[in-house]
Amino acid sequence: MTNQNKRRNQRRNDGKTARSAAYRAPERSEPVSPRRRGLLDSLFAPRAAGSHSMPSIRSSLARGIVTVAGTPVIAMAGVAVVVLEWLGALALGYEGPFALFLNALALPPVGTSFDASLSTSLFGLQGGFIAILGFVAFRAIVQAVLVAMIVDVLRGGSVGRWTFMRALGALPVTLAVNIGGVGLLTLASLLGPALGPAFGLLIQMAALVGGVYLLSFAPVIAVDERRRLSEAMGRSVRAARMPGAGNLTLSAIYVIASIALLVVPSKPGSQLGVNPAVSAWVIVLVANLLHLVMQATVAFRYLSVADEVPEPAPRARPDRGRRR
Amino acid sequence: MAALRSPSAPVGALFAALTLLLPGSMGATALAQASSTWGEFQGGPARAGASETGPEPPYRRAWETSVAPEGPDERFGLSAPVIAGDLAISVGPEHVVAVDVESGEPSFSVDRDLGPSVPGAVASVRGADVLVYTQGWGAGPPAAPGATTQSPSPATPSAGPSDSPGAPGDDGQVFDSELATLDVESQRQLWPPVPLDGVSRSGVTVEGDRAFVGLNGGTVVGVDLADGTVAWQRDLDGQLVTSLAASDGLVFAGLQGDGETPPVLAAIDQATGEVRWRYEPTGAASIVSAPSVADSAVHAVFTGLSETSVVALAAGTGEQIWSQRLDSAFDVAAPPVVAGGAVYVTDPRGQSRALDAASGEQRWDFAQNSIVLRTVPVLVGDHLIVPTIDGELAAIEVATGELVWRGVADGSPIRAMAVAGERLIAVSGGAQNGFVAFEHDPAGTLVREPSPTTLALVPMLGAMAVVAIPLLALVLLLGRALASRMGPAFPDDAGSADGGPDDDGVPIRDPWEDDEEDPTR
Repeated sequence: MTNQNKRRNQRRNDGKTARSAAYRAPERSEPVSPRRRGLLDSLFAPRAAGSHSMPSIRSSLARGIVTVAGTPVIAMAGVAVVVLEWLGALALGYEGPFALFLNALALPPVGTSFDASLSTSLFGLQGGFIAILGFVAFRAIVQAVLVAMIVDVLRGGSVGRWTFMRALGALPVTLAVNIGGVGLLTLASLLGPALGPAFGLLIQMAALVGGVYLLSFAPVIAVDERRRLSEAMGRSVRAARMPGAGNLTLSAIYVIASIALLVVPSKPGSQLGVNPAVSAWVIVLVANLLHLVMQATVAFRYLSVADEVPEPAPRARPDRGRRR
Repeated sequence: MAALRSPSAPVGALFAALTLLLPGSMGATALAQASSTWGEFQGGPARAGASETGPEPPYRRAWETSVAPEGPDERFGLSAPVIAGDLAISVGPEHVVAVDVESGEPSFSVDRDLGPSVPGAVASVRGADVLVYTQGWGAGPPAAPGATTQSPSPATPSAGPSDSPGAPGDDGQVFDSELATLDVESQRQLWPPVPLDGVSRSGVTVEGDRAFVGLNGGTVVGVDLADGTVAWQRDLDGQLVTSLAASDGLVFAGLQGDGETPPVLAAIDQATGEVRWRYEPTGAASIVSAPSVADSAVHAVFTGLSETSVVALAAGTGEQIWSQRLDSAFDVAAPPVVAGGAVYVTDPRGQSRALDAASGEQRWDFAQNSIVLRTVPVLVGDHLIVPTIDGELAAIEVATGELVWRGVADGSPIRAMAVAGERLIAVSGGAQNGFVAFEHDPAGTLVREPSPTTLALVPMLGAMAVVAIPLLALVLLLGRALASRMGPAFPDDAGSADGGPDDDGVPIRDPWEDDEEDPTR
C-alpha cells in the first residue's frame, strides 16, 4: 500500500485524524452529531454553530488556480475535452452557437444545463430528453477523471494509472450527481411556469445554486474516500452545510458568473456558425479552465475539512421496551 | 370586440412571441383573371414567393417614398405591396396608397376604414384591374377606445381574433369589417363593401372569379368577384391569422393551436366551401405558418416547443409527402418560398434553408445571423432575397447556398417585397416608413461567402491551436510560478505520489488491491 493510500484509509476509518494544510487552520471544536429527527432532516435541520478548517473563498480559489495551472495534464485535459466535445457536436450536426460551450466543463447542474441545451438543439425536445442521458454519461466520465486528477494532485501525488482507477470507482457518484442535475433542472422548469413568470428565472437560478451547493463535494468524496453513493451524497450535503463555511456564497457567485457570461449579448461565438473565431476560442477555453479551477477549489475545500464533517445522525428507533 | 382566446403557457408564450409580432405583412397577391405580375402577397394565390424574372444583385436603392404612419398613436405602417400595372399598392391603416413603380411618385391615396394593414389582391374584373381588400376593425384596434386585445407591434397594425363573429364589442359596437374593392384606374368601388362577420388579418386571396378571406375567428369566406355576393362561408374552428393560399380548386388555411388543440392545415373546395381535408401534425406543434402551394403540394412549417417541421402535403388529399425536422421556431406570417424543385424557409435567426421539394432533404443552409422576423423572403431569378428587421437585404445564390450580396442595414425593418419588372419594391417600417425600390447596381460588386455553418476544418482547428497553445503555455508558466510560492496543499500528504516505492520500500501496487472493498462500488 502506498503512503497516500495508507493515509486515505486511515482518514476513512477514524475520520478525525488531525492534518496540517498549507494554511493556518483555526481552532475547532469536535463535530456534533445531533439525533436525526425525520425525513430530510439532514438537509433542513438547524446547523450547529462551530469553528472549522474551511479555507476562505479567496485562498480556496488561489489553490484551485495553482492546482489547474500548475498541472499540465489537468489544463491540457480540460482543453482537449472541450475541443473533442465541440468536434463531436459538429459530427452530430450542431451548427452553433459556439458560445454555448462556455459551460462545457461547468460543475453540475450548470454543466448539465449545457448538456440539455446541446441535446435539445441537436435532437429536438422529445429526442433530446433521451439523448441527454448520453451527454450526462459522458459528463460523468469526464468529471470523474478530472476530479480524480485534481484530488491526486492536491494530495501531493501525481496523475498516474491509479488515478483512472479511482475515477472509475467514483463514476457511480458522478453519474448520480449529473442525473440529479437533470432532475433539478426538470423540476425547476416545471415549477417555474406554475409559479408565474416572475418566479421562473428565480426558481431556475435557485435550482442551479442549490445543486452546486449540495452536490459538488460528492465526486471529491467518492474519489478521496471511496464511499458508497448514498454516503458520498449525504456527506456532500453535510459538508456543504457546515456553518460559516461560505459554500452557499461560493456556489451563488459561481452560478451567477456562469450564467451571466452565457447571456452576454454579442459576445464572440454567440452566432450560428461552426468555425469559431480566435476571440471565441479565447473566451470559451478560458471559461472552461475557470470551471476546472472551480472544480479544484471545491475539491480543496472539501479535503481541508474532510475530517470535520459531521457523521450522519443515528436514525431514531422505536423503543420496543416501552411497548412491552 | 371579442377577446383573444388565451393560449395556455408555455405554448401560449411561443404563440404570442411568433404571432403577435407578425403584423401586417401577410397579404395577398392575386393573379386572378388578369393581373399579370405580382398582384398578390408573395406573387400570387399559391404564395410561392418566386419570380423567374427581376433585378439581379447587386442592388442599389432606386427611390424611397415616405408614408406617414397611421392608426392609433400613428404607430402603424403599410401592408405588403402588390403590383397593378405601373403601380405598387399597399394597404395602410386608414388609406390605400399607390406609388409609381418607376419613380416612386405617389399616384393615389384612398380613404379606408381603420383596420389591420393586410395586403389586398389585384384581380381583373370586366377587363379592369381591381384591388380587393379588407377594412374595418370592429370595436377598435388595441390601444384604441373599446379595445380588448393585446398591444400591437409598432408600425404594423394587428388585431385580436373575435370569439363570436358578429357579436357586439365591449362598447356595444358590432363588427364593421368589410371586403371592399377599388378600381385601380378610377379609384371607384366595383360593388358595395361586403360585410364580414369578424376582423380579418389574412389579407385577400383571389383565384379565378372568386376572392377568399379568412376571419380571425376561423371562418373562411368565398366572395364572387363579379357582384360581391358571398358564395359560401365556412367555419374551421380555430384562430386564422395568416394568409390563405389557393390552387388546384382548393383554398388552404392554417389554423393555430391554442395549447389544447393542435394547429391544423385545412383545404376547402373553392366552389362549394366544403372542407376537403384537415391535416394535424403528429408532433406536438402549437402554431403553423401560412401555407404555400407548388406542383400540387402544399407546404407549411409547424412549430412547437418539442419540434419544428416543414411538411409537404398532397394538395388534393392532404396526405403527407414528407416532413423535415428543423431546430428553430418560425414566424407564422411567412409561407415557405417554393420554386425550381426546392422549398426555402428562413427562421427568425436568419438561417435560410433550401429543402428538396420532392424529398424534403436539406440541400444547403445559410446563416445570415440577423433577425428575420415580420418579413418574408422572395426568390428572384436565381437568388433568394432575404430582408431583415434592421433593414439589411441579402441575396443568396440558390444553386450554391452562398451569399453573393449584402446591403447595408439602415435600421428600418424591411417588410414584404414585390417584384415589378426590374424593380424590387419593398415596404419598410420604423423611421423610414413607406416604400423602397431596389434595382440592379451595375457598379456594385458581388461577393461569394459560404455560410458560417459550413465547416472549414483546417482553419477552424488552426484558430483553436492559435489560442490553445499560447493559452496553455501562459497558464502553465503562471501555475509553475504560483506553485513554487504556495507549496503543496496538504504538506502531510506530499511526496507520496504513485510511481515510487512507499515508506517500507515496497514497490507500488494497485491501490485497490489491498483494500477490502470493491473500488468500483
